[in-house]
Amino acid sequence: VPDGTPTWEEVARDHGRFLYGVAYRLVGNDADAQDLVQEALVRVRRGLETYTPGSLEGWLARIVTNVFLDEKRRRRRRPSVPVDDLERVGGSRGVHAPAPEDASEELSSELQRALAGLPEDFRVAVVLCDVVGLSYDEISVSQGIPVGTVRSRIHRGRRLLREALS
Amino acid sequence: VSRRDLPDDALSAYLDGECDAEERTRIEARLADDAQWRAELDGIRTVRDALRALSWPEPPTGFVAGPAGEVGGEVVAIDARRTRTRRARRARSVAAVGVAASIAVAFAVATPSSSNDVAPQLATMSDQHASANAASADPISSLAPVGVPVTFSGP
Repeated sequence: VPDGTPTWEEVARDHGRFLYGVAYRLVGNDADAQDLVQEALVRVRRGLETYTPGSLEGWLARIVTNVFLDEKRRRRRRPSVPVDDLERVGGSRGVHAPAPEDASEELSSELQRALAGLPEDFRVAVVLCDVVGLSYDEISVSQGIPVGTVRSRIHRGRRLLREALS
Repeated sequence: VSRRDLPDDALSAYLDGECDAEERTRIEARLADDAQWRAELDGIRTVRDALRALSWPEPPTGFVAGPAGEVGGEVVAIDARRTRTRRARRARSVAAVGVAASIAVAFAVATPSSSNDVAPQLATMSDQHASANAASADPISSLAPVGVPVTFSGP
């Protein structure tokens, strides 16, 4: 393992909150976000053997989004509940978000619901850009797609969000 | 190339500073005389700013990341909080015996960067593991807890 590579425990301790935040924005509820983090940490542990020190949070964001997309594909192949129904309720165990207490929390909840309704490819691009703060180039590398596709997905995702909120 | 050839997604790239100078010039020229495009830009900007202003979702207090264990050389997730599938129960049971490196890490949610003494919630994990397995008469439940506490040294 090269110098500068964190241990699995350090990743869990120092970046668990980061992983949870990205996961929550992707799935929209606490229970599924926790599951996503657990699975992501398993992949982190495997991946650290070949990790090249660099942007750790970019690497972690790639892992958690890949876990999210893999899970979506798996559910599509073997759906126990129609995927559309899952999207409507914001996750397999429902939306965990607390009842909004003020305007800002209400907007946050509405935005999170709209985010959860986006097609997952758009959602991932928007979350990586506007939540994680990755550049288009970083998202391109992270997702293995051309920059032009990143640009298109981000814009179409934002446009759908605007329509959902209007 | 006419200004009208600009795709709509150029607006997001423009907002994000992801355009080159030549494209930026063309976008600004079009925005100057296309009210519909300006409205589109404003709408996209509003959504983008709202997303970026969202507070970071905090994990619930006591959220335990992991533990993870190895079963037959394969790293698996072990979720001691919930029992969902028979396969997951089986994996936990096997791992409880064969764990080579299981680690429970509790987040210090309030001060995540300053707390080095992490206290994994082993009592809770133990209870939950035991209750989750009691219904299936799993003899492994008596071997709880699954996780091994780890005391971290400071960075």
